[in-house]
Amino acid sequence: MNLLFGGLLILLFSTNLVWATELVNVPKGKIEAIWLSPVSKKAKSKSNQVVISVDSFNAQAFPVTVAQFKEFLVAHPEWSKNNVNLLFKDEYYLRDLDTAPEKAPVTFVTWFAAKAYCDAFGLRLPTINEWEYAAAASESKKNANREEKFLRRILNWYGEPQGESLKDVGSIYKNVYGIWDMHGLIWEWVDDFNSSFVTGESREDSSFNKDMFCGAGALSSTDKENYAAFMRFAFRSGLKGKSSVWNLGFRCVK
Amino acid sequence: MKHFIKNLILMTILLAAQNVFAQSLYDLKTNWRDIENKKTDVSVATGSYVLIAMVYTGCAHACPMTISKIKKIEEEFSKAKFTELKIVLASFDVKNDRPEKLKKYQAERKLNPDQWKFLAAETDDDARKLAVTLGISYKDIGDGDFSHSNAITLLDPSGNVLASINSLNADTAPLLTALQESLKKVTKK
Repeated sequence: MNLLFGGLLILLFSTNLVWATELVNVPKGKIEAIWLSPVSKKAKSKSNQVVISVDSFNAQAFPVTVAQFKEFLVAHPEWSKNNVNLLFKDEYYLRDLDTAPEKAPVTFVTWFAAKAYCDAFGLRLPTINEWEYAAAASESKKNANREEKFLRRILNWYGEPQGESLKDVGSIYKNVYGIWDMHGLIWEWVDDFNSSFVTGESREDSSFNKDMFCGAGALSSTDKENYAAFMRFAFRSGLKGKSSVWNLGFRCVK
Repeated sequence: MKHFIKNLILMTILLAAQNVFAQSLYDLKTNWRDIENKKTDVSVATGSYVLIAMVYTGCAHACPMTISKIKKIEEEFSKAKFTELKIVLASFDVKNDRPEKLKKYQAERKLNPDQWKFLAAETDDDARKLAVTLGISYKDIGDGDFSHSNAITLLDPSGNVLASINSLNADTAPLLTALQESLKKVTKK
């Protein structure tokens, strides 16, 4: 009887429904927000170092998987490939859904679809600040943004050639909060992605543009600390709400 | 065979038409208040051609420029004998731009409320959704100030996006061209 019960429990835990609702707590804290306006050390000495406070929130331990997104589509067919208004999707929307492994993170999802998914579970997308705060944590430290080993892993991943398909969620690393794969598997949507822009229109970003684009080949080691954040900043600034990208997925928070 | 081709053409037209109708901004479900504090939607001017943009009234430079740019476009449209234009200006300063403030702003600038529709977002999420759909970036940089990109978008009477210009200096010609093409289609029908 016990064995049967145990078996049932394992079965339950292996279903995606449990994953869909598994949230882990990220306690409140302060962090130097190098992603807000990543600048070189030289520029930084003149400008302000922004330290932000992040309130406690709960995050999905894993990125949303292909299987979970398929379940969502059953209940919300208005988000399936053929039903979405062209303002809210591009031609790549959900391109891999039928062929991707069930436990791989869902990608080729738009910001609108990601928001609708989270909304359906009473959750929401994280803000840039929340996401970066949680992503700064390594296996053992809450803020590893200045740690050589942690940064090297991120930058190596950014530099890796594209794989055939994405690994399953839960296969890269688990950080100190118990959140998996914040780096090394996919890029993730944030709610306010459109607050990053590299257009020169934003006053405070102009010095960072020049330093990062013109001097990117000659970055010093301290600048490399900012480079990982800069990469995400630049990536976000290139997105539109209807963008569907092969390695861009999401997770929800509450 | 003839029949088949005829059907094929009909189907293509139908599909194309569906495509057009599937691009309406008015499918975006967001919540707004007009200057009288009544609940409304970005589709407030359905049935008219609309120029839609996002502003914040605390803005010293770019937003008055957006308004004068829209006035210039309006002038160009009326030179081309089109005078039925409506203008929707939605604020992304959700905290400060409440209906009464927008009403005051509108009165100060002497913008006719029948033609100019100012909208106050119910929540940050409503403003963010509209901005993302219109391709507008913005960031609250504190002290009631925002850094933001600019877009002025032309919608047809059903809310379909016809054209958009993306900066304050951009040539306005694509908007007039898109308007004239759309009007031509309507008269053909």
